[in-house]
Amino acid sequence: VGETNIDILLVEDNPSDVKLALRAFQKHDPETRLQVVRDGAEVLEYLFCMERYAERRIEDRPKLVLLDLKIPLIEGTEVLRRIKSDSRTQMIPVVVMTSSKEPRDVAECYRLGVNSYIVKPVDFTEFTEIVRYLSTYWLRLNLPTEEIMR
Amino acid sequence: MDIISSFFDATGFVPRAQCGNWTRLLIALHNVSDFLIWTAYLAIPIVLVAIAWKRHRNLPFQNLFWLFGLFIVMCGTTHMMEIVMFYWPLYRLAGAIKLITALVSWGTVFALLKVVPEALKMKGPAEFEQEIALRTQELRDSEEHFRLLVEGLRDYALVLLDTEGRIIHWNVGAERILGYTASEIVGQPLTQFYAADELAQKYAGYILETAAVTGRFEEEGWRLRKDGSRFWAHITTVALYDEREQLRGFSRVTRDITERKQTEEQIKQLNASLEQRVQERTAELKAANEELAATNHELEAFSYTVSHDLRAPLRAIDGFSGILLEDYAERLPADGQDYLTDIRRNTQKMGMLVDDLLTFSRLNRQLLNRQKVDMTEMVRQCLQDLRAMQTDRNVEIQLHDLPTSDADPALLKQVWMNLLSNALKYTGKKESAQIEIGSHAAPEGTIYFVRDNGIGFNMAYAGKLFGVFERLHRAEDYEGTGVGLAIVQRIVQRHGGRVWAEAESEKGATFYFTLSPQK
Repeated sequence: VGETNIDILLVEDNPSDVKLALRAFQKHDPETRLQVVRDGAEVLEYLFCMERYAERRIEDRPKLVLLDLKIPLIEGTEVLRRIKSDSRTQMIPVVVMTSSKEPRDVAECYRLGVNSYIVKPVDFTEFTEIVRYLSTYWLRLNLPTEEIMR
Repeated sequence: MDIISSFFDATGFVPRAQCGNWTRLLIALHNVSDFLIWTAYLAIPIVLVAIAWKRHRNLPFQNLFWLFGLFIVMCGTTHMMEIVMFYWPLYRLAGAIKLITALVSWGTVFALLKVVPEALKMKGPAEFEQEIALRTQELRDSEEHFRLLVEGLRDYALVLLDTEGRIIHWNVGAERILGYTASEIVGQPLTQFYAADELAQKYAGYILETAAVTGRFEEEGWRLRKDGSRFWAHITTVALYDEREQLRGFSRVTRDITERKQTEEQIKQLNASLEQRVQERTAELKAANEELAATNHELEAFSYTVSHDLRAPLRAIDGFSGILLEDYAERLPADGQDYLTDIRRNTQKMGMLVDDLLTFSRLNRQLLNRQKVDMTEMVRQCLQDLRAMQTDRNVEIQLHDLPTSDADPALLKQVWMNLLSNALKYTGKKESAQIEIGSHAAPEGTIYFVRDNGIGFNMAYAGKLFGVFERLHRAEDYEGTGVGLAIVQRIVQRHGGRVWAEAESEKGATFYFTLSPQK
């Protein structure tokens, strides 16, 4: 189960989307350390070091969580709420990347403290470009808290 | 006294009997004749007085009448004096009487002359006959009209009663409503129509007494027909008085208002059940509302699913096609690459369709957030957002000052974006594009418009313009999903306004819309 210290935690249940995202991140920066989790329960287990990820240390926080909203078991907004309401995880930047443009979803995510909200485009070219922006911005330009820097 | 006694002084005169050779026959001839004239002249005024006594009121020329009587009495008196003078020569008295008679006679003459014009106007007996005939005819006609009127009132029972309350007239309406014929009922007392018990009989009497005092009495209630069936009657009893204010009888107008009464009863019942119905309906409505909310909720869930699940496979198709083109281009022949490009174009189109459909379906659910919108500024921003469509082209945009509107800014911006991007799109093949944005005032509110000199369209197809997926141009000429104008129409309609277009093929098009103010 992956490395202890990662750059991006990608929450995505669609295998095609996972493949596309992985390729795009690798193309942009082959050094990117990326962990994929496939449902809402797994995200929380990973971040809070429980069950499958019990041996993980909670201090090893990802630099970015890329969260899809429509995921199995526990839905994205609930995952977001738990991350942002726990003092051990709330400083982790969370970017929602989802297909939904529903204003209700957008508003709900911002209310829960999301750091950014991106609509997944259908166009592959656009998608690749967005991945490049995300990588550049959150992994290079953005200054996280010291807990994450470690 | 002296004057009176001097009238009876015959000194110095000889009675006529002593002058000349009077035979008994000649004396009788004079005196008897004078006596007869005198008595006749007295009788005439007595008859006149008797007439005057009988017709004490409407005697024409009353003063002349009395004067004429006096004139005849005086004439008679002169004849009586002739007899007196035959034996007693009261020449002074006779002279005085003659003078009075003369004065009265001439007075009568003048009085007569005075009334001549008036007397000439008076009708003669023949004229009276004629007039009486005429009046009689008129009376007969009037009576007939009245009778026809009364008989014709089939919906009203018209009954005349004498002062004692006995029926003296019974019309066809009464026959129809109450079932008795006139011959059966005329002469019967009114009490016949009231129940036999004492109270009801007293009530019938009370009706007539009250009507006699107050003029009229109205009653309403169940009454019996001859056949024993009931009807709800409205009866007005009116007391009839003659010129001398003597009670002559009563008229009773009876209407059968059973239907109206039944209708009233029904209305009462309906009203009573209305409350219950309202409650039932309210409950139903509440249930329907809940159902609607549930449906809306389902619809939202559906849209959510569509937006998420329909786009994901599209992204995969486009993504992997893109990867093939990027990573394996050298191993693919040119036509293979073309097909992949076609796949990508179609998936992207499908993506836009899904997006537009979602926007369109969301419009029906989204609440309007009306506020004051600076239209000129909004159009300016839209044009700024659309600047990509204006680069490397010769576009001349004329933006007039627009009045502010009361609308949902997010939705309204979509209207402007769609109309303006259409204008830019459909002028794309013109050497110089001209786009004008303006407004004018109209009774229904401000009409905003976007005019272009683009390829326009055939007005024969104007009806299809605002339908979902309707396109008037070929996809390879002008890109689009065919949802843009449907979205425009939906937004405008949700604001209570309307949208329409005028165009000519190859000459350009003008799109108009209104936003009726919030009620």
